[in-house]
Amino acid sequence: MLGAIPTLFICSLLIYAILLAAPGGPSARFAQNPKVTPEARQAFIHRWGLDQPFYVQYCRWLGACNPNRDGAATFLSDDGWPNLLPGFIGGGDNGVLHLDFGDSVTTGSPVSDAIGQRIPRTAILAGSALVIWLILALVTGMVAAVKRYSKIDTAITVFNYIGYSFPTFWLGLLLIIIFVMQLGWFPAGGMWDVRLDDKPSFYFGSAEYWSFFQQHPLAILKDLGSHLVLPVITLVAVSVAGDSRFVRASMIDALREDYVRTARAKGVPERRVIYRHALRNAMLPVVTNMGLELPFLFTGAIATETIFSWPGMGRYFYEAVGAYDYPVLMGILVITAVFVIGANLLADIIYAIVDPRISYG
Amino acid sequence: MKIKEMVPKLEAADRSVGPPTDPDVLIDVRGLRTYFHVMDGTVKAVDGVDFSLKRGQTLGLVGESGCGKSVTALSILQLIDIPPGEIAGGEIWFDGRDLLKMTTDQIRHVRGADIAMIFQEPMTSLNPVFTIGDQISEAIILHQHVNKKEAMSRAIEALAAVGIPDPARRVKQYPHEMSGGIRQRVMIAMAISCNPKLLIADEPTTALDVTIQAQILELIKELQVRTGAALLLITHDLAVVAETVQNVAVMYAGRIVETGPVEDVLLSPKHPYTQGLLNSIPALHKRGRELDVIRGVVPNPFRMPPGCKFEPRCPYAWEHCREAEPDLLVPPGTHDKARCFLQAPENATRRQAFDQATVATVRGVIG
Amino acid sequence: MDELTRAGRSASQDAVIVESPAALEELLTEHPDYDVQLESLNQWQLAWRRFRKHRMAIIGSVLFVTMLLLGTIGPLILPYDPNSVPDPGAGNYVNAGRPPMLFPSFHLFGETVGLQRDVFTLVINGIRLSLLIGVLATTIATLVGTLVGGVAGYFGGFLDTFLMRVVDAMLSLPLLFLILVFSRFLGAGSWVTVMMIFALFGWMGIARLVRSVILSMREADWVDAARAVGVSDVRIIYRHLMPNALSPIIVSASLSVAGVIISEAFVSFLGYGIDPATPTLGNVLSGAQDALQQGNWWWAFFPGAAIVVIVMGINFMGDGLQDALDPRAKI
Repeated sequence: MLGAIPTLFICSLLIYAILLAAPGGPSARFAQNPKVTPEARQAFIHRWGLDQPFYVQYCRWLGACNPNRDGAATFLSDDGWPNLLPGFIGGGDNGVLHLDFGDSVTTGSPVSDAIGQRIPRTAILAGSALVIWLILALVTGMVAAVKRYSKIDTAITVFNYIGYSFPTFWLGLLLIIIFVMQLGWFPAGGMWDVRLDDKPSFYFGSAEYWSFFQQHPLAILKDLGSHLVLPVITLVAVSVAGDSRFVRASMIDALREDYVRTARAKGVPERRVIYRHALRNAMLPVVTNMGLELPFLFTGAIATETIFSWPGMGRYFYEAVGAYDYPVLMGILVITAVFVIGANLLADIIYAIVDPRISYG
Repeated sequence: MKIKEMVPKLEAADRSVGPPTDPDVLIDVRGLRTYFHVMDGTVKAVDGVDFSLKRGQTLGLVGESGCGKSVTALSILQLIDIPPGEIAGGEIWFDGRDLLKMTTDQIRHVRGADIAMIFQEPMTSLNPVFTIGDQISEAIILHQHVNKKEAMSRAIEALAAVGIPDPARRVKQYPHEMSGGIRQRVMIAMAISCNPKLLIADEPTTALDVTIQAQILELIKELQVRTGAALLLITHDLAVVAETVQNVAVMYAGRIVETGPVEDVLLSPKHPYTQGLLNSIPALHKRGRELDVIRGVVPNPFRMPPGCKFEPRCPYAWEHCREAEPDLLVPPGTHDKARCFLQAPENATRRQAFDQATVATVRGVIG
Repeated sequence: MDELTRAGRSASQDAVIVESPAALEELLTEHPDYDVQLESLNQWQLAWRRFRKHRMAIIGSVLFVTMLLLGTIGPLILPYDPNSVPDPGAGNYVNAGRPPMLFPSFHLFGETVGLQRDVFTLVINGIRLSLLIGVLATTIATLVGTLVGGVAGYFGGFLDTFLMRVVDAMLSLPLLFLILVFSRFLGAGSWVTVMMIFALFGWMGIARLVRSVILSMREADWVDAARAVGVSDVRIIYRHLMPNALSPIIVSASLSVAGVIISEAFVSFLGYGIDPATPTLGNVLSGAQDALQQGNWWWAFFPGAAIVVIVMGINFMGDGLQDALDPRAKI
């Protein structure tokens, strides 16, 4: 478990190194712009601390170094304690460790605020997708395994093989073609219907939105739901196709094991043999596999959010790439890295709980 | 006169429609045929097997790998995987009912309760994610309809009966926490927990150390005597058979080629295959000589010999053996049935020749 | 049957190969004087036999080879230059130096909006570049990954731990995000650079795979057995470890190609990948989404469908390869 910490550390190092070492750097956007004078560019570089040596920059960005001081004393915060520590016990208040991701180059406002605003939106999308993904993959995989060689199995397997070959973003386009253009069942994108309320302050998460919700809860839920359907399907379809195959294979393996034969020989009803004896064992590799697939939920999210104009973190990332907005990029990468490592850890823990042969050490 | 007309075909006489008339007969397998349909053809794993067991009797089913003995046992409880496998024919009369005609639901009540099975690999035959207490009491709850607590205490008793020390603690352990010998005892405990009338042991000691083997066999024998259950012991090891059972049936290529009381079969085997098996056991008096082997290999299941299945490897085969397959023949006055034309009285001289050679070997094994 | 049964008269007759016992039976009843020889096949020949019989593998191969042919030969025989635009004056398409077109206004897959390029041409040209990028990037990534994994597995110790931590860290980052960033910042639209970026982020999986194969073999009994008989380490690596490692690598690599094609398509679609001057199935799609509003669905549909066909072909082939190379498979 503690192995996660060095991994996180290397991750953060990589993120920082990758982004800032890329030629051009954060000031590259000004390279082509004739209106930006060399002095202004220098000021920009100085302001963001880009003229400092690499390790100093990294240290500050991480939050282990205090940017307000120069020289050897940078490890200490203004209060004299190590800058690493949380602010309320005397540490610093800058950097990733204190959830400060700097200011967005495009808007100038703190990145953490912007990300914080968008996390719930992606969470709703990814959360719904996760639930549906789990249920569908497990159910279809199990049905296909238990009713092996039947028509249902063939249908599910065919669907899986085809679905697995779709690029997520194109599936989204296809769904738009069919369900929005031809059938008109769902909206083409976005997260809320602007026609509900004309004001610009009406967006998901705003006070306006919530008061509207309190007055017309059903309308909002219906609206949210209709906006969720296509993106969730897009996000989930390819993963379900892949995992369903895996679950099926895992179940088939489990059903072939000797202890299943022993259970049958004891007179255990077939149902119980499948759902109690085989499933418990089949779940072990499935849990690990799904844990490892969690990052793909994010990469899928960026495709889905861009196609469907879903205003979440994925789309924010896409916009930031376009604008060379480094702080935003780094912030989002750090958050996703933490999340993925956390999810893997969770998968390990769940596995240790479920498999009595593993003792956590 | 043809041989077949001279010697009475006991099988035909026995084959009646309906349950066996003798109330002492617990299980009567008649003409069991189990086939497997694979890509290259059909494998007739079991092709006409007949045997019966009385209550409390013991029978050993012996043969090399691939001769169909495990498949026979699995067929009794309908544990064959049906898509490639198929029980193509036969009847198995148990307690007045034909097991092969039962639905899965019906045979479920027989499994574990009336007929219990012990498997070969104790390492993989127990479910790794449940405690052994759970696994044993599962059978008890299913068949004896008691509550969990009562089932668990019966499980502990069963563990004690198989000689596992400190059963109350063991009952909460997982299979991977135990050695192979203990696991096999757990399997046996699971099998006897519901007081079965017939115990089928499929190579119970093959995967264990030699010292543990002896213990487990002792245990099985003792339990069988104590509970009065019948025992069908499947093994490839003749020594195991010699020590543990009263009757033996030797299988080859999906058929029984010789059967009878164990002393008769092992001391004076009638079938050349059994002969060959016994001959090939290394013995002290053979020191300095090359080991005897049965020449040739087990026939390709897709290309079985047309007549007697053992004919290509048999040192005494003659042309007739290639043309027709012998039935299980028993010369009058003996109990030993063998699937060989040499059993017929007219071939007695051929028989004399190899009888003498083998008696000496067998004495070396048993005595 | 792990063997091919070769039957034939010993001296002059040609050998006849039969593949099943039933066929042998038949042959021998017709020609009872034939000699029967059994031939053992090595691992690769067996795998090929299994692959040939595998239904999915055949379908996949057909699909893939078709697309391959379309991609390589197609652009040479198509009437339109992918970037040719209509010349309003000529009422026709202007294409650089090609023979006059047979069907000047015929567009099999329709036209794009705006510049009115021919979608079919774009798709055919796109297939070529997408496939090329996929295969090249995967080849490089596989080589790098095999090297890293092999070194880590073979030498063990601190080197192994360090390399694996790096691999873990890289795998924890959402790779597509990083590819996007790199592509935009460094790519400059050149397909070679973009291909290298994909290779840069694609070696980790193979490294882990190779490492685990090597580790498992270090412990394996048969390696000890080989050593005990006096086989040298180098020979063990060359003749024993490599063939065993090769199978999972091949399967993984083939699936990797599919992954790269899809990822490249997305990155180019967003406009951060390859410059539209050289069409790939991805950048051909940029702008297609807006066209939907104008009712143009074919621009978005056909390039994507091409991707699906290619990837399906690869996935099916990969599945067939996996089953064929599985050492536990019977027959």
